[in-house]
Amino acid sequence: MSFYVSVISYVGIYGILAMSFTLVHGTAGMFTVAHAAFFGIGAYGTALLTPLLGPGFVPVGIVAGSLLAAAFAAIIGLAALRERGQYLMLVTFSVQIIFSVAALNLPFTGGDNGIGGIAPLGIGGLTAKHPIAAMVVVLALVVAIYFLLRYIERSSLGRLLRAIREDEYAAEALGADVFAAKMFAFVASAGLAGFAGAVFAHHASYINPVSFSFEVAILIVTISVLGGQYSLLGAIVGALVVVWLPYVIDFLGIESVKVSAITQLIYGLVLIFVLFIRPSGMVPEQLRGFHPPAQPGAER
Amino acid sequence: MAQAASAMEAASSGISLIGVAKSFGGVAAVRDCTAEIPFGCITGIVGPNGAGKSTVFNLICGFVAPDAGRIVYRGENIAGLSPPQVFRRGIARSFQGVRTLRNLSVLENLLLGATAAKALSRVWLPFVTRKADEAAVPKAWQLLDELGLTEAANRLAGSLSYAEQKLLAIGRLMMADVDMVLLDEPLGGLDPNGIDGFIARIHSLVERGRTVCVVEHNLNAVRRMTDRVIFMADGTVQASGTTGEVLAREDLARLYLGVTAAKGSHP
Repeated sequence: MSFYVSVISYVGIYGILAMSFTLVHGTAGMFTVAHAAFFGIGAYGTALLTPLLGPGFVPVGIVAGSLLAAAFAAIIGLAALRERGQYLMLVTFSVQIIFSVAALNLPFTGGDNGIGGIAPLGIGGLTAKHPIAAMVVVLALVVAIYFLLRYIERSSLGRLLRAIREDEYAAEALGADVFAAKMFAFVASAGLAGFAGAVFAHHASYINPVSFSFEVAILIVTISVLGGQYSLLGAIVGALVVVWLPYVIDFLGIESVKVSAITQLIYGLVLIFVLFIRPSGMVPEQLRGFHPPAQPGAER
Repeated sequence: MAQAASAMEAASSGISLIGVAKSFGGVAAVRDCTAEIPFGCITGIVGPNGAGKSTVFNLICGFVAPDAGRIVYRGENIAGLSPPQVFRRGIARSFQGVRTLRNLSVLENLLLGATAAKALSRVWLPFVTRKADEAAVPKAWQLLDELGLTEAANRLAGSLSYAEQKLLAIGRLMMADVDMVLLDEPLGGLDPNGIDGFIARIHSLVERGRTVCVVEHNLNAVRRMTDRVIFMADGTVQASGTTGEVLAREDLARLYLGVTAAKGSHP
């Protein structure tokens, strides 16, 4: 039972991570492969900070981890977002590699062994030690973030980001500060990925560099493309499928050594299949419909 | 035409280009360009391909920074400002292609004209901006009705016909809070009926108090819709004045057709 509960929690955490990727890629059209690094910065940030603050301050650690990821993204964005085109992908690729090397070798990250004994999710004296309590907290966060992002997507800001995705020059000619808008999407998305990482750290109580490797960066893209890269709901559906997949393979009684390899193979095949058959993914982009105004004069 | 000329004298200066120059890799696209786009009338920029007409638009709107010269608008040198800065000063443009935001709805395309410039303040002034956003919606519906696109409001803009997408591009500019609208070949690719309808749209921009400047190859249409013409060739202004005056000059007609023919005669 607690096994299912914990898998559902991971679906939620990867769902938040994938929704953060939807904001930067699906909505604003910027392809980045550093989201596993931002996920990791948030996790390491809170894992290192919370012990200094004391056990009651987990939310402070989570917020600090998110802000740390956002701050790194701001620096990267200042350097990379002035250029148009595929430049960002190359820069974020290097960032991801540098992060992996740093997480293994910096004196305070614990190297291969990572960091253990991270305080469970909670606030003040209340802790979600029980897996079900932790799951409820995670799912509440998923819902809150879904609605926050949905609000942004449906606002004029979301519309502007989608316009930039479609045609930067057209958006610029309509008076949009394209650089600032891209900075917003990139930094907010990275902050949210950091948030997911911080929640992950407190939920798992143990982190090491494997959880934030380049494979995970690709996993995020897989979740997003499979579920629907232009849809927030798609990110959650994608996380549901992708997070469950290794356990399903495990259930089939395949040797556990082979599970990881087979999982990777299936991810690859599924990705090609989806892009070929249904490029918009399982959940396509949902446009906000507008109702005509009710004045009698405007009706036809 | 006399009426238009007197209106022109009364109008303030609008955009003044003074000795503007721009080269791309040693090729002078625009050189020593001095011209006026006055408020209150429709100015056409005509000339053979490669005359530098579109570059002038790019220079005014900040997509390209001039190598030399000044572009004065309302007493301020706007040369070298970024496109959003130029937009905020009251100048917007359309492009040669339609540049429809294909995966946004038709209505959203229109809303962007009104909201794109201020959308980022949704982050720090969420409620103030929200009011302005909501105020744009009924305005957009009204405009859709005028453009005959009401039925398509919630459809993807990419599903519209080419002519409808051109209308939508003009619609975006109608939604924008600007005084000066620069249209780059608005009639390209339209059939004669489409052209008539489109000229009516351009006039409705003027009725809304916008000053219009248009780059156009269809001289017949230029004759019908503009009050003034700037004639460009080889990156510089050859003549400017009232439309009747400039288009009647035979030397310019020869320059226009001659250069075009020479370019077209490559094997």
